[in-house]
Order: sequence, then C-alpha cells, then structure tokens
Amino acid sequence: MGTILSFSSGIIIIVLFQYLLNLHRKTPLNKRIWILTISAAVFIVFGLAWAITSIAEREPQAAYMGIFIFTGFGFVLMVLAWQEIVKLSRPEVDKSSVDNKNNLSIKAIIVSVIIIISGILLPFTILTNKVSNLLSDQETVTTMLKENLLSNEALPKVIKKGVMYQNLYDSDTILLGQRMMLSVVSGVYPEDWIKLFDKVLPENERFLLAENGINSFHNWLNSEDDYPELIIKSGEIISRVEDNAQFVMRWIFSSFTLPPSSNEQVAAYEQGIFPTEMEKFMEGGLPPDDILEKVIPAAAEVLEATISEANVPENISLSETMAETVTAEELKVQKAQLKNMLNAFRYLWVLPILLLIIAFSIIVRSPKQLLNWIQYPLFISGIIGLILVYYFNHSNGILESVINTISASAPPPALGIIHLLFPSILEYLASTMFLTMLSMLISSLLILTGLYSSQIISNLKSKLQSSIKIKEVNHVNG
Amino acid sequence: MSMDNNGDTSRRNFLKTSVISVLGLSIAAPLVANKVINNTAEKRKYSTFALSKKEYNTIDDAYEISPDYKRMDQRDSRLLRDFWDPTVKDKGVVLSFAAKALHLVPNPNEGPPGYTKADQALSKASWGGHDAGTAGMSALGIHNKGPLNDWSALQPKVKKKVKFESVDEANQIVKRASNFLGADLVGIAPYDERWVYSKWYDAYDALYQRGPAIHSEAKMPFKPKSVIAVAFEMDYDALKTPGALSDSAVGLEYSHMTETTHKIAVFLNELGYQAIPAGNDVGLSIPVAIQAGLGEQSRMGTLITEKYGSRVRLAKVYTDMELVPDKPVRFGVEEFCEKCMKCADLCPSKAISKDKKPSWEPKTTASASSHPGVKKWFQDSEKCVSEWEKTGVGCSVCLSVCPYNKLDTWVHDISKIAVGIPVGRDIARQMDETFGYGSISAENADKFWSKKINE
Repeated sequence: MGTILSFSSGIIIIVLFQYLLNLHRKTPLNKRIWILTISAAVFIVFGLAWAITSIAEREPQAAYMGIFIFTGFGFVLMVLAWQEIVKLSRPEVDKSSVDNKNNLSIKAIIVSVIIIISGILLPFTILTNKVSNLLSDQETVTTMLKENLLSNEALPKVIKKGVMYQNLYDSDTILLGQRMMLSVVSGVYPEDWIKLFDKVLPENERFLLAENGINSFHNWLNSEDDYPELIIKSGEIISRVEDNAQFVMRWIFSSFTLPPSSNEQVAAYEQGIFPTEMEKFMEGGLPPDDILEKVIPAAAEVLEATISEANVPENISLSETMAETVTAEELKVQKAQLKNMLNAFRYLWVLPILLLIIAFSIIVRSPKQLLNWIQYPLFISGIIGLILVYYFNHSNGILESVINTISASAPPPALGIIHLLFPSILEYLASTMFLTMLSMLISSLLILTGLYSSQIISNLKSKLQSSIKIKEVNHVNG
Repeated sequence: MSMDNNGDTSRRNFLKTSVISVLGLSIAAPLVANKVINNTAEKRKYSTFALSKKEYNTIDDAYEISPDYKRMDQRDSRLLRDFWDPTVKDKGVVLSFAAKALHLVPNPNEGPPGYTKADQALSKASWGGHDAGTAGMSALGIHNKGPLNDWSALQPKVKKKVKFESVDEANQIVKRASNFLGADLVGIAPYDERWVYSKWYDAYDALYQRGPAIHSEAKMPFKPKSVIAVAFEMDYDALKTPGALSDSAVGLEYSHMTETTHKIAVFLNELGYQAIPAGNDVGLSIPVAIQAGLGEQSRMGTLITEKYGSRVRLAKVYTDMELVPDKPVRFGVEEFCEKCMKCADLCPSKAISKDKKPSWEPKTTASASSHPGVKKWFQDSEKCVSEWEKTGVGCSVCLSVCPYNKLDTWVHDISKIAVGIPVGRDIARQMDETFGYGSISAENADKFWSKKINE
C-alpha cells in the first residue's frame, strides 16, 4: 500500500509540475497561481493518502470523508488556480454582454424551487398511498402475519425474539432465576416448538385465528360497531394442555437445556418427594432417564392443578376485554382518527401534483417547454424513490431506529414481533414502489435524450466531418 | 514533452526537465515516505501528543489523592459483591455468566451478528488461555489460582540474584524481556501499597457452590520493591462489533495477560528474584499503570494510552527486583474528556458520569463499588454490569467509541496533535463522528469474519 501511495503521489506531483513549468514558459505565472497550485497538490495528495490508509484500516467512511474534504478542497483550489491561468491567457472580454445573460429570471427560480419540493414530496406521498392500500388489503396483511409470525417456521423465531427483547429491555426487574428461565426458553429448537404447537394449537388453527382477527378489525373499521368482534376459544386450548399434561412435561424436560439434577434432588425424587410448584421442578434440573419417568406424572399433576387455579375462561371475547380498558366513545374517536389518517395517506400524492401544475402554469408556454421542465421532477422523484426502495430492501438501520424509538413505551415481547414483521412490510412497500419510481427515472432520461438528440447528432456529425478532413489533408501532404 | 519558446519539442529541454524532476523526486520521495506515509509499527514515532504532554515525578503530583485515602477491600468490587451483598445477590450476574459459559443455559440473545454461534465460540476460545491458566479466576480478581498463577511454583530458580551494570540496564532488560514475551507496552512503577487491596476475597469455592468465600487480610508472599506494569493492545476490528465478538477482543488479551505475566515472573525467577503475576487480582491495575507512565485516567475509569488509546488491558508483575520507576504522564486526556463525553452519551446503561469535572465523591453515578479518595470521574458499576447481564457478555462500548481508540497510523497523528490544543478539543469529537470512527455495528461483525487471511 505504502509503495503504491508513494509512487502515485510522485507521478501526480511530477505531471503537475511539468505542466506548470510548460505553462510558465508560455505565459509567466504569478505567485497566486503557484501558491494555489502547490496547495491544491498538497491537499489532493494528502486526501488520497488519507483515503488509502483509511481503507487499509477498514474505515471506509473515513476514506470517503478524506476524499470529500481534503481532495475535494484541493480540487476547489485547483479550479481557482485554473481560472487564474485562463484569465492570464484570454484577451479582455466585453463585460456588458456577459452581465445581461447572467440575470436569472425570478419566475424560473420560483418554479425551480416548487419543482424541487414537489419532486422530493412525490415519492413520499406515493409511499403513504401504498401504506394506506396495504392496511386496507386484508388478504395481504393476513398473509404477512401468517408467513412472518404464525407459521410453524416463523412462530419459534417470534418466541426467541420476544425472549431476547424481554432480556434486553426489561432486565432491571429480572432476577437470576427468571433470567435463567428466559435463557432456557430461548434455547428450544424450532422443531421441538412445532411438536408442542401441533398438540396445543396447530398451524391451521392459528391461521384461522389470524384471518378472523383481521376480518373483525376491518369490519369494525368499516361499520358502526363500537368494538371489534372476535371470540377466542381459550377453554379449548387449555383443555388440550390439560389432556396432554404428561406430553407437555416430557416436552419441557427434553427441550429445555436444564442442568443435571444434583444428587440430593435425585435422592428426593427416588423417595417420591416431588415439588408442588412448577418453578421448583425447573430448578430441580434434569434427572436421569429412569427417574424422569417417575417425575413426569407428578409434574403433570402439578401442571394441571396450576392451570385449574388460573381459572382461564372458556371463551375470551375481544370486545368485552377492550370494554374493560377503553370506553366506546374513546374508541369511536380513535376509529375516526384512523380512518381520516388512512384517507389522507391515500390521497396525499395529489398535493405535489397540484404544486407542479401551478409551477408549470407560471412558466410553460409550449409543449417543448413542458417537456423541458417536467424531466426535473421526474428525475428527482425517480432518484429519491429508488433510494427509498434500496433502504427499504436493506432495512436494518431503519429497524434499529424504530426499535430504539419505541422501546421505552412498547412491551419488550412486542419489539420481537416488530423486528420480524417490519422488514417484510418494508420489502412489500419497496416492491410496490419500485416500478413506479424506475419508470419516472427512465422517463426523465428519455425526455432528456429526446430534447437534445438533434444537438448530439449534429455535434457527432461535425466531429466526424472534421476528422475526415484532417485525414484527407494528411493524405495529400504525406 | 518540454517546449521551447516557439512551441516546438526540444530534446535538450526535455532531458533537462526530466533529469531534474527525477533527481528531485528521488531525494524528496523517500524522505516524505519515511516520515509521512510509512505506517509500519516499528518505524512509528511513539508520541505525537508533544503539544500537551507533561511528565510528573510521582502520581501524587499528577493527580489529587486524599491523604486519607484508604485501600480498597476487594470484596467491594461489583462482581465479587454477587457473593455477599444482599442488594445484588439475587441478580447473580456471575452465576448467569458461568451458566452460559458452561453451556448449562443458552444466551437468549443468540442469533444476530455478534451473537451467532461462531461469535460465541470465538469468545469462549479467546478466554481459553485465561481460563486454563488461572482457573478462570484472574478476571474475577481471585489470585493464586491455576497453573499459570500458582505462587508456590513461581519461586527464584537461583540462589544468587543477578546484578546488572546499572539500574538503567536492569530497567532496559526487564522492559525488553516483557515486550519480547508479549507485552505491547511496559512501564515500571514503584511498589505502592495504596493500590494493593486491603483484603482479598477468594470466592472460588463459593462460585462452584462448594464452600464459603474466604475474606482475608492481603498478605504479599514477599516484600515487593517494584511493579512491572504491562498493557496489551486489543484487536481494533473485533472491538467495533457487538456482543460476543467484541468480548473476544477482551478475552484474547486476558489470555495474553495470563501467559505473559507468568512468563515475566518466570524470567525474573530465573534471575533469582521473587515475582508474582497479577491480572485483576492482588490490587488495582490502573493506578499502577499510571505510576508506570503508561497513560492517563479517563472519564470512563479506564487508562488511555498514547499509542492505543483506551484499547488496552492491564496487568502487572510484583517483584523484589530494584528498578527505576518511570514517571507518570498526562497528555490532555482530562481536558479532552471534559468536553467530549462520547462514552457517557453512548453507554447503553448510562453508567458513566456526565459531570464536567472530576470530583472527590460520586454525584450522579454513585455505586457501592465506588472507591473515593482520588479525584476522578466515578462510574455506576451496578448499571454497567446490568448491561452485561442483558447481553450475556461483557460490554466494551465505551472503549470502542472513545475518540482515542485508533490504530497507530499516521492519519491519526493530526488528531492527536489537534486534541493537544483547546480548539482541537472542541471539534475533535464531531470530526471523529463525521469521519465515521467509533461506530459499533452488525456490519462490522460481517467485515470481521470476511477479512482475507494469508494475503
């Protein structure tokens, strides 16, 4: 690296000074030019050296900033030096004619500002439209929930992420025993979770629950009902656990990474002395296989007793549960706000379009002028939109910001759900926006090419003609 | 090609210009390359803090230490309070760490970059030397455990002590040997009993639930005269990653500490001198390192060295060899820390003080492990360790984000010079962040693993 750096710095300096010496012989250069050029060379070489060393240190941002600040400044000095050189070598120009052309139209400035604002706003308003469409699309939302949260593949990840966030964000109140329990739960393999789910709440029932849940939300949103209607048959789920209590306990002992039981604990089990609380069974560790066969029935009995004491209702009604915490009036207000927000999101894109219409009405007098101006908002929107699409497809940074923002108010396990759902929502939005943004960008480039195509062609023609003439002259002279 | 006044090519002018250019370049380039562009460690100048560096005769000249300063009881250190202090006993951070290390329970954060199985395996492996050499005890502060920290085996091997031509020669030989045996920085401190724990707290049996901890008066096996303070550079790339991967950087140097201090003790034993190695055990490391001229204390409570910044782990070897102590130095760290506060702002558990100046007593970051008596910034050990509990590995965010944490290359000489002046200090943190230094991210974990080897 050092060798390349030294060599390339030397080449740059030699070439630069050779060029200046040549210029100085033609037209003597003044002190200002020498100072500007030497300073420019120092900054340019320094910036390149900084960048190369930063890349070797694996600090790419430092490398880019070095180029931007040091080399960039060097190029600015170089441009200033070049201007001085050009001034020296050019004859005096009539300044009055130059001044007239430099007067910018105020209308053009206003229109440019409006175009820039509209161009920036448009992709974001298209995004809000897509968000509104997504929230109204029951099928897509249900599919997302199924694939990312409720399927046999996804649900173990939800549990693991929920445990992780519980550990990270709720740790001040967690004691050693609870912390160990969280660790143990987080270590259950996905295939073992599926075995438990299949007994208690299989995948198809979970999917049905999701469909009913989304359905009830949409019905509530689009009707005059005070609360969304959804009944969860909790009694059925609990009775499955009770009926399969020994399976559940066997599952716990085989899936949880419990430390081996102490000798004292094994002795107690052998004598038929069993705990009366579930936590104590966990704290007792994993006994040898032959003892485990005695422990499981006893643990199953304790599990059944614990469930009975919990008094879980036969059915849980969502509307009744919500009525305990929020009144119908309050919920009505929130529903109205939500509906207004969705409508606003749906039509917000009209605003930048209106601004563009106003802008064009100020300045456009012909179709060609319209084409000339419209390429700018198309280009800006296309670029910004594609950048948004890129970031949505690489959403780790956004996800981290969202989690950090809501971590103080959201329950930790909910953060796990957001962690899993959020990237797929962003990817969906990115996929719906991509074509629109790409079309805008391509349209602007096509307009640009179309407008200047005749100029490009005539330039090419004249260059071709002059190179043919030179060849002919050389041929005649040669 | 060189042109004459008529614009025609002139061979003479071309030759003249080219020869002069080449001669000039061949003289200038090596000088430039040698001084500015060469970034190999052996040829680096040691310090570029020339504008702000000062040497002091003793640590008492460099820092304000109360005449009533009392030696610290080792059991007051946060990790050892797990074994006796009812306010933290239920948290059980040491036990939960031990459970994860022994694979009794998984780490609930397993999975994201920095916490993958490979990352966690690397972390465990990096601690391997320390765990095998000191039975895993030195980091916890428990002395005289394990084959590389066995005081009974570390005895002088010859009856007559080897004498050198002069004390300076002895110093040079001890330092060179320590460096050869693995230390990145070496300094000599006088033996100062203030930094030895008043009482030791051996919780080895308590950790494995075999018996009670032993809380006894600290009694050195011989009368030390000097302390060889050593520092070990942590891996720059690993420290920029989250979780277990950054812990690997820490664990690797704990392993190096164990091995190197043992070897230094053996070296001294071979010369006929008594010597005992110490990591976090026996006494405090930071004041010893300051006395040895290795660096200056910082806002986050660690040592900042000139060459590696905060990116070091400290150990020491107590010996009865008479050596000339080095002088404590300060090079503007306190003045910079007053303005910067980056570690305090980015500490995940807000355990680092945001007081502008050091103080005699902790204000906002009080902890039962705070040890007043020296004017310094205090940290809340409970909050700090709570982060370790959450992640399941040690946290080193403060070390990583510190602007002093840089590789020893020429590009950072400018910032080192700049922080020596007031204007430079004002903008150093902002410039540091603008240039992207001190960021910890999951992407860095991917970069760590994708580094090309054998090229």
